[in-house]
Amino acid sequence: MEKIRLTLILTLLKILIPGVVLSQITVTGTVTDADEGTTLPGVNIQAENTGIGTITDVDGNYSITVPENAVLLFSYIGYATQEVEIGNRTVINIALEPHIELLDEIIVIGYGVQKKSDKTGAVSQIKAEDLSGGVITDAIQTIQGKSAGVLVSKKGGDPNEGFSVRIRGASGFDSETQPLYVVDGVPGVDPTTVAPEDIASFDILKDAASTAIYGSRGSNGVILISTKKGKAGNFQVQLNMKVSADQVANRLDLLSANDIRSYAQGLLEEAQVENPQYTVDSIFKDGGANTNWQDEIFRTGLSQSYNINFSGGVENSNYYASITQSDWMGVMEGTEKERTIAKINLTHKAFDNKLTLSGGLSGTFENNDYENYNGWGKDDILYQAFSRNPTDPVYDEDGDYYETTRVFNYQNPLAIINEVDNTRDAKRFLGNFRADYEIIDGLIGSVNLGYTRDDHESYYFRPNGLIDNGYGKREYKNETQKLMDITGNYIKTINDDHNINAMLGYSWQENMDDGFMAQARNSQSPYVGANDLETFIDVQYHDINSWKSSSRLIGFFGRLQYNYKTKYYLTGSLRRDGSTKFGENNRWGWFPTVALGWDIHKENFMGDIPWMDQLKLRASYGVSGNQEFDEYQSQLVFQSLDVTTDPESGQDVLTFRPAWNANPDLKWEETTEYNVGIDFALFRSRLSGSLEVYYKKTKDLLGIYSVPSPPNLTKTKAGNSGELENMGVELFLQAYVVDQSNIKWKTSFNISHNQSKMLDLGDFFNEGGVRKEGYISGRGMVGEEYYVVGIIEDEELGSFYLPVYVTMQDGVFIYESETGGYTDKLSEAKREIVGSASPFLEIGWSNTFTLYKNWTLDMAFRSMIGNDVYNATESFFDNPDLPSLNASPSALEWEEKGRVTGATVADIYVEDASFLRLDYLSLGYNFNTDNLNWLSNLKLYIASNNLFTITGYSGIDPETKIDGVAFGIDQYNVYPKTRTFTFGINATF
Amino acid sequence: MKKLIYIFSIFVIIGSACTDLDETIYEFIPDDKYPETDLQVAGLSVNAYSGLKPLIDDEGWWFLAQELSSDEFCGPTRDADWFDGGKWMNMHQHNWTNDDEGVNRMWDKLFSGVTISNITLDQMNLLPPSDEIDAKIDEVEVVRSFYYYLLIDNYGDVPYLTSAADAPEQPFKTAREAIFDSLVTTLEGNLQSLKLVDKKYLATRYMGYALLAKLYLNAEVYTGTPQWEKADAYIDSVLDGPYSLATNVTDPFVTNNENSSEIIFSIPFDENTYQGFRLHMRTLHYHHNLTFDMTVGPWNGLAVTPNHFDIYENGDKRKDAYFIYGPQYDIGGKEIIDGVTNNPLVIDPHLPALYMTSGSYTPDQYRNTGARVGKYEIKIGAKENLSNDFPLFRLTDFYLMKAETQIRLGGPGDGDFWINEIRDRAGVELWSGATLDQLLAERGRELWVEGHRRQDLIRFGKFTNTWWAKGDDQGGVSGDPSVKIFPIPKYASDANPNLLTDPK
Repeated sequence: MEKIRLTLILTLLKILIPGVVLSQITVTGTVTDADEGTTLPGVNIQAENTGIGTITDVDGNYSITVPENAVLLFSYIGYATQEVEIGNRTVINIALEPHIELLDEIIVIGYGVQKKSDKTGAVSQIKAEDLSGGVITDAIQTIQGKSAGVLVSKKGGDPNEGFSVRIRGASGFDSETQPLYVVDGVPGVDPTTVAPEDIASFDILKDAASTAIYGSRGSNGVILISTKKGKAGNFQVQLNMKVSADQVANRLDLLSANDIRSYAQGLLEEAQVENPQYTVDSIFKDGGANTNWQDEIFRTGLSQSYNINFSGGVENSNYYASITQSDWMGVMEGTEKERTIAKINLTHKAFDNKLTLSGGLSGTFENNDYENYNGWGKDDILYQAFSRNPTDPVYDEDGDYYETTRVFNYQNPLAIINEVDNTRDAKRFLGNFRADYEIIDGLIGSVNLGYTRDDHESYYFRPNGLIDNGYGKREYKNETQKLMDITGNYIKTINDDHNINAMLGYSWQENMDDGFMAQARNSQSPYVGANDLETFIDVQYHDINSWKSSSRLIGFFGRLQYNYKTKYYLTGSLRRDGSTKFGENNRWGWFPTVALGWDIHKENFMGDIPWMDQLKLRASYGVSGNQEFDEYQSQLVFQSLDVTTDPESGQDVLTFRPAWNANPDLKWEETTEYNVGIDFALFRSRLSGSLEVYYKKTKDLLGIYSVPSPPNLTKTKAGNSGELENMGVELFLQAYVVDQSNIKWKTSFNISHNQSKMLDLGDFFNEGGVRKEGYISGRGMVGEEYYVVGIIEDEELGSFYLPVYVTMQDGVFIYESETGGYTDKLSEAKREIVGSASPFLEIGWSNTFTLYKNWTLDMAFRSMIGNDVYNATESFFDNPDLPSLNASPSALEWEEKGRVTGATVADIYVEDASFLRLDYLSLGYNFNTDNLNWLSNLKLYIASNNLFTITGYSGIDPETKIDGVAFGIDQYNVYPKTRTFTFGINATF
Repeated sequence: MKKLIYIFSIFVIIGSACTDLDETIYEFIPDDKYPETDLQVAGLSVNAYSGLKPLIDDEGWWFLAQELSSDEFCGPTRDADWFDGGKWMNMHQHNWTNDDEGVNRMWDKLFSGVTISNITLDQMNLLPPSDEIDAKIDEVEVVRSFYYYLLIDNYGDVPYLTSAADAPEQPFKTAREAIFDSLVTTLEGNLQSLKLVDKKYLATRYMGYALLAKLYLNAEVYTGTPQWEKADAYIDSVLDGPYSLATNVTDPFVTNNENSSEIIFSIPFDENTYQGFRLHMRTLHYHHNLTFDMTVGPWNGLAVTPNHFDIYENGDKRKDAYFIYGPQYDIGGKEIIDGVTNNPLVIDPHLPALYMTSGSYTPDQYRNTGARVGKYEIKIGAKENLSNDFPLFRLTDFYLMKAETQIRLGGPGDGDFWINEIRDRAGVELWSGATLDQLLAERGRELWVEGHRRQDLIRFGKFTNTWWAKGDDQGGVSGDPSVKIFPIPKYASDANPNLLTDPK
């Protein structure tokens, strides 16, 4: 009776007060390792949907008091999580299965996938959850500093500028050295067309053994981007929103209006010694204002990004669709980028799962608003703002832009920003479709088709009266790419021990570029602008132009992966590539690779070391190529040059001229690479990582080489010559340092060192010759002496080769001279290597903290050590035209010492630009949504990009674009880097 | 069986398509198709003249090198402007090295002219022969000879190539005298094919006479043996041609000078379609865009040397016709106020120095001094390039050359007739008993900035003298005879070491 009543009351209470835990039981037990039988301390035990949890003690025992019918979750890093309904048991012993998730992860390699534990090449993978966030202007920014040996750099913070990626040092100099991007199996796609929210993983192929499957395009590494797919039975909608404020992180140190005035006063007093009648007006025109021109051209930018995606699927099909809309307002007035990306991925299986059809479609719509700042012309905003006299106001009394002619090319930058229209609209489509069919057991035939189309439309308008009588231009560019891959893949295990994976394939890819342009001068309607070019009066020959070119690439390839008992690995691949860019004497090339792997930890002599989960030794060799240069260079073709008057008839006639010196021997650059690596995973993969050592030699460098002229028409021709070597070390570590229920800390660290050496400058250079690069130009500095980078045999690429400044005598700079003495002439100065723009070390360190289950703290540090920058901005602003133009405070110091020499190139302007940067910091709160079944995740966060930078460099920013042969030069063209603060919401329904 | 062949042929078709790597060329004419039409064939020879276009400005440096290295023109350093590594000053003070921009680019463009002529000749030799084609071949050989004349004048011994396809990979130099002989032989042999017409852009027979006259006039410099008689004979042939002195000193240099009676051979510049003449941008003051209503702002640089300005007498019509100096006005007639001095812009024709910095000179001194080039008309509304044709051979030059040969063959006074034609037109008093030195001075006055001065100074043995900023305490050298030719550019000898060996 009592019991029934109790039960009734309890039941009533349970109904009336849901969720109240009324009856609890205490469960105890021991947790052991299913393989070894040993007890496991520190195992997390949680009662699902309650706040109750505990951990096992040092003997593996636990005790937990939970409501009846609770479900217990047992989780421990390195083991498979188990879910157990307690039912009405009070003693539950659990044996956890070791499960090295990490090693079973799948990585994407060229034309296939591979288990991480089977890898034989140098491949690194970065998954979606490890990508950086905050203000991301291009997807590649999310992996900055995350992979050893992969240097992602960008000069300044212009949202319209892209990133440069350099993997393991440069492999070429005149050719393009960016890696090949493969998006969802389509090579050659522009990675800016992928939204970061859509990316499932980046897989980076670093060594030739991995990249040579892409043959003549693999030399610079390959970055494979895989976008998200839906999961069966898991319909979800995600909403990601963020809003950011961006500020200029660092400005240039320049004089103020009052500094200029006191300088002018000083000049006046000097001049009055001989000419007492002089007034300030005789020597200096004071504009009457106090303008800080950097404040005028910079602003706080507002950026925002919205992404909504939904995905789901049933047993045979799944889908993923997303739309991302982002807008980045640059911190320089007049610069902005807006981008919308729509994507859909579909997969469908049929015929008993024998046939898999998958495909994707994506469209990127981008709109850019540009400002020029790369030179020292009237429309180069940074130069005009830095050099403009601070006593000049922005507007005059009538409200018009204040203009005056202090010096050549003097222009009010606000007028340019507000009156010049320079925009571009881009529409890009990517479509890919793939069919995989299992022909017989283990043999899969696949066809992969891809199509990309980029349409760019540019608009430029400059009104009449601004700096000339006006100029308008419209340009259309279209780039199309078609791809077809056919591959056959055979996977078989013989006698349980021999695992074979063989692949054969054919690839055909064609690029087509065409476009046209119309421009005109003398604009008659500022309102219409370039929307109707008929409002311009002046149209001449050369103002209308069109172009078209194409290239094709064909490859045959095969790969064999073999392993014995997953202990001994052997992989080999071979690709034969032909390209229309190569001369007819060298159309086809072979690209072989071979790689070995040895899982040492599986050997008997290693015994059974419980804390070592993997120790693998790898060695690989491969030959890959690079063919990124202009088409048609191998052929002799004639191009139209000018309209002139026929000397005899007096009629207009067009002259033709050979476009370049042809080279039928032109071929790809070839890189041979050796790589040795060790992969390890310890303590149930709590600590894992890899160490790589590599050596690569690139020969037949593509370049523009000197040829004797006469007898050649021009003095250069595209050819192959020269040798370059890179060697280095990379270390990557990942650790789950702390793994408690209340605090988790995952860290990953990578450090790499690469050194390059120019072994041979190639044909047509004398012994000890120097190739001059990195020309600086500016007022009073237009000529062939003003170069700062020298490419010299046996020296590193990116070396600064400069005259050595000795002292200043009577205000004139004295340099060491070639003949051993001293000279004041730049052309006679002896040059030496005084620094290198390539970093000695690149370091990245990312951390993720999870605190009290709800709080997450992410931070990513990045550092470059040993990189130098040539501060050309300082060389212009330390000796300018005071008091007409603005200057840096060091100019006054030089004046004091009586400096007379103007802008020059010398070693004193090379500065150490090593830096440490906090790239990304974010603090987020994950709401507990267990009780809401319509909301499975809600996270609010604040984040900051580039919160601080520690560097000794005196210019605006120490980071330059590491690309090409002449980099590391700061020539008043560094768009300031920004410090951003973001507030964001991620929700999953 | 049929099925097998069918399948096999499909594979063959697919196979050949699979590996087809023939490049399709869209926007250029492939080598084996050019020239495609009759019009292009007729236009083949025009390509050879296109090598003249870059020679007047800094793309090819020839004109700048002839004038800036002489005593009549210079590019002063005006504080922060125009120092440019010293290249303008080096040219004036004869301090150039084998890596100076002028040395490099002049070689590059003169040899481009030679090579494009040779490529054209190779193409014409492949066409079916006819009288027309043969005449055109002779014509292009004459154009090539013009480039070689400039090459031996400036560089001395150079490689002499007569074909592009058969040229050796790394040619050796040929001695200047030998090239001279080849040139006069070619020219004399081809004269009959050249037309006897007054077409100023064409290599006419008169242009041939003129070129031969110039070669023989300078024979002593080129070969060591003077040939004044032959020069005299060819000058007469030119003087007999359909040319006559213009009435005004400015006539041959106006914007629309394509029909000037004085011009024998010129480069047909056009501000839009055939660009390359922008001397006005380099010489005019920053504010001169207000005077000429220009769409672009000039660069305030090159000017006459003070010593040369002073050799013009006060009544000489050429003084005001050739030079821009004194107070400057805008297009409405108002005084121009200089942006830095805040005073009316008055150009003092005398440059204080070749190297001026704000430490030692006032803005007025470094910005607003040195008489500028007004000789070539700058039209109202001028753009960055001028449409004036540039005269390479002008009748007046040949009058003075005639005077020279007469004085050299006879004695002072034998050239008076021709010199006085020129002096009369210029409004100055006539001479009698004029000596060679007087003739040289008259050439300087009359032919200022026409590209002749360096050659004249060398012929008269005065190129290595000192003048103004060359060889006085402003720095500079004098007397080094090796400067009478420019060195082989470093980039050329680096690519072809045979250029540093003795001529074959």
